[in-house]
Amino acid sequence: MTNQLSEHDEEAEGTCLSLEQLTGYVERRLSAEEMATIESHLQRCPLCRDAVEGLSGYKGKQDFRDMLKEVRERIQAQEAPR
Amino acid sequence: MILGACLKYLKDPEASKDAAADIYLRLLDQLLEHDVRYFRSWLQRVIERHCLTILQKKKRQATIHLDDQELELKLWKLGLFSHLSEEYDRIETDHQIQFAVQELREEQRNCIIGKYFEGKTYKEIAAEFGYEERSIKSYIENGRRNLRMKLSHLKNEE
Repeated sequence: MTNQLSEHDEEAEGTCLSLEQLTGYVERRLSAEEMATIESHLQRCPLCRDAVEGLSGYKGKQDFRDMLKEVRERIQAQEAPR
Repeated sequence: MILGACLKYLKDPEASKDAAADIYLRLLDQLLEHDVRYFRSWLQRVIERHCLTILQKKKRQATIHLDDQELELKLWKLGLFSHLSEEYDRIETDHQIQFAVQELREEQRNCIIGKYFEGKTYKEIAAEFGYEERSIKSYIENGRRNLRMKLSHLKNEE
């Protein structure tokens, strides 16, 4: 993994982005202040950067919430036989 | 978060949904197994490793598929049959080829005919003959090698 977090970074980066923040940032529908806050976090958090990069490629192609819903369904389907 | 990262590596929504579900389901077990001090760094590595494994598996499958195509092309060049839908009938009427296929060991013959001539998946072959999917792959590899040798011999005779 490139740009893994150091101990210092991990402590300093704060809480990772929420679903709303991630999708809002990718879809560019947040305020300038919110966008700046997120960009500041992204500079220090490669995990969120990966998520933003991945989501950016699918912006407008499929609703990310629908995709998440399908993931939850797959998790439930696999958990059911346990 | 996990789904987004999977999308970055796999660039395939369906594969990413499966990968995200798998990672989530294994997360608790893995957290209990490892002494995780820095969760995000650790999760990032878990996602990357999982996606890398999927990509490597996909690459291996692509290689196997290419080999299949090479065999089909070779069979086609030998004039044994022109396209997949007619393959089985042509084999039925061609005694030499029929003999070559029939000479294969039973497991190899069942798997080769199932996969190449009837278009069955490994799962379907497994369900029909009760073989393990791992074994089917091996039967096909060995059967394909044997069949290729037999077909090369036929070509030399012509």
